[in-house]
Amino acid sequence: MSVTEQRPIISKLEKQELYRLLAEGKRVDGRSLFQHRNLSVQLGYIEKAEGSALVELGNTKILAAVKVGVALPFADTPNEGILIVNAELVPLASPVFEPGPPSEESISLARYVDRSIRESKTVDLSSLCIVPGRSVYSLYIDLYILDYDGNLIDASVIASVNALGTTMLPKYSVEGQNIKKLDESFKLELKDYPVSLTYAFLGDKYVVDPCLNEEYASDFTVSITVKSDDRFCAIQKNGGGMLSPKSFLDLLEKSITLGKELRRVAYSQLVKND
Amino acid sequence: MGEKISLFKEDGRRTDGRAPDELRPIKIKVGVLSNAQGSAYIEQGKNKILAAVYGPKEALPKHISLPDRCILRCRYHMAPFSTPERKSPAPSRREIELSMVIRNALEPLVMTSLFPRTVIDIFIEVLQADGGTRCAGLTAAVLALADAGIPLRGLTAACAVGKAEGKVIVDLNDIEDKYGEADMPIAYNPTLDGITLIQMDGIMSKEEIEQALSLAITATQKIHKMQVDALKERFSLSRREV
Amino acid sequence: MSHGNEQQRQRPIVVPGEPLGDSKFYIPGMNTLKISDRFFATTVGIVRVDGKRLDVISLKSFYQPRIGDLVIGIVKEPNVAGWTVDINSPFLAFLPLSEYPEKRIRLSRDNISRILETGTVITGVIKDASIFSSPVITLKGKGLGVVSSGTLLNITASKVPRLIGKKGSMLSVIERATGVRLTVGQNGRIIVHSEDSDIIAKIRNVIEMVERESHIYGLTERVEALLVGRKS
Repeated sequence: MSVTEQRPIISKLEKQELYRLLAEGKRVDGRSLFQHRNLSVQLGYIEKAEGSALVELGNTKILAAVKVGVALPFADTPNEGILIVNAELVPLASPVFEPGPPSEESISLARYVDRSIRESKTVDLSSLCIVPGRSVYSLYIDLYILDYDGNLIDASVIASVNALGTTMLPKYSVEGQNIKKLDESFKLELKDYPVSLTYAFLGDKYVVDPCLNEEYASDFTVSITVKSDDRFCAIQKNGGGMLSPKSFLDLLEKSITLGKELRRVAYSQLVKND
Repeated sequence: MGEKISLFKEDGRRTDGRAPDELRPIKIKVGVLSNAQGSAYIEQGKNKILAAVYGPKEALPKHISLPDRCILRCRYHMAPFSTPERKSPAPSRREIELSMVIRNALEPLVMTSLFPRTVIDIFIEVLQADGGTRCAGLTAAVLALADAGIPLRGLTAACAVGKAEGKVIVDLNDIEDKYGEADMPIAYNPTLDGITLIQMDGIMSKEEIEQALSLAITATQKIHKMQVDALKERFSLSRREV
Repeated sequence: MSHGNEQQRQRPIVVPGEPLGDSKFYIPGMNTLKISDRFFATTVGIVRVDGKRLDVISLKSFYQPRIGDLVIGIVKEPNVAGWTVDINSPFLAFLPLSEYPEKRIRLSRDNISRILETGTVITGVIKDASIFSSPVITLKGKGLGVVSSGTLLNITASKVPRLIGKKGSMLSVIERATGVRLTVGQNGRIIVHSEDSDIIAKIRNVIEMVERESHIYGLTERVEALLVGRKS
């Protein structure tokens, strides 16, 4: 069952300050309404994983690692590889993360990142077939949240795409019914570079890339994933509150512009390495 | 690869004969369960969904309650026989996400500050699924809340819009959801002109989304009218007791 | 479908979100929501106009305790300083030790559960009803206390005024026709002071009729006809 969350209490004064600044077009950390925090990406952080990236967006730190295996394909897609995204809200990342079975936040985060990657066809799953109907590559993307300062979604999408962009797949030779792992590996080719933009709504204002306090004070957030060709592949409103149709259409327009710039910064190392 | 499934017939009609902006036949009945404080049943195309509300009641254990408002507990669940392949009764990741997304759509609707320290339980059971179940379930849940006499900021109706073979369509059935290009469920409150649920997956351009949103608002307004009629019918004398 | 249409005239039902009027001309009352100049119904109900005030009387609702209400409660469990009582409301009520009429019994923590066992039916009055803590009831007062015999029936709390009627008119009709006394709690619980099954059946029918037809004109006459016309 999904239960109304108990949010950490933000003092009235902090909330008032937030709104006061917003009315002047400013934010608590000095950013403008549509400015992202500092973003840094370190590729190949975990050498033992086939692909990995550590992303820091402001203080939010997320490690994404890709483990590659071989598996039976799903019955309805016998010639396609398997992509599975999992997210772990590691307890050390925040006082509100508790150990235990996956919470609805972690499941919702993983599923949104999955949709962002899958629907944009960032990875061409049909190119991950080894023996049709019998053996395909399985890509497990594990998102490990190490420090939570708001906006897990955008940082997770960036971390995942970067991790995929560094992924090396082992080559297999096919001998009749058997496959044999070879010593060579080849790079996973990315077909798209999606980015997501998350907006927090506070009263009638909205800001991009909310930090933790902005997220807690907000009525709700809207995440929008945009592909390289400026089309959208995933959208989700998270939290209660009401979104006006007009604001929603404004967000789409903004996301195209902000998306271009974010993509440039987030995936600069991948494009260089290609 | 498998044969390509065509989602449109030669005359431009969809696989079930509908026009692109046509809703499936909808039947709604309010007040169908004797134990729940409020309940509603909806059939939309082949979807058969039951919603029930218990509460407001004392929130126990006390630590889950909030001092200044009522909390909502929402469960969206699919019966094992609701889909062609039997679905395990254990909640799937999808059901967990949808329970959350539906609860978020109901939070701004319920006037929760009127019942501090209590809880309202909302149950949505999909008995038969054919695409658009979170929307139909939400539409029914809103009626169950109204049936329970819980004060609401108006009503909310939901419908999925999307894209198939380049055309924007309304109220996707299961095949269109699986083989189409995009699916965008939306819940809309006409009294407050607000969207309380919106998700999209697939590929859509900004123009396509604008078009789909406009169709969604028209569709949800139609469904809203059906909700109003169903509520009035529930409490009128002319309804025969079954 | 021969129901005698003139008698069955219904007051119009409004639903949540239905616009009721402009706050420039009316004052929004119960179960309404004001958005800038207009206001809307928040529950399914009937509109009642009282001078300039527009209320929506919910057709279905739960009991919200108010100070002074007579309620019929069911003891739930003993507590540190009294008992928790189910008053058919989202809020559990509390009956403190101090509000139990003493009658030469020394009350202590040990014998609390023996004085009022779980399941005991009591008639009490709401002494305190803030929404930020449990409502408090008292058993001190004339006619209040434990109900050890009789039959317990239920009606939707919002229909209680209709069951009682203007100045108790409906209630008098029922008591006169059946020869039996009723205690009606504002919380939708009714004690019929009789265990005669025929009388109980008649009263049950009356309650069902009030539940169903409270928003239709001429209810008192129909209830009278029902009670007088029916033989066992």
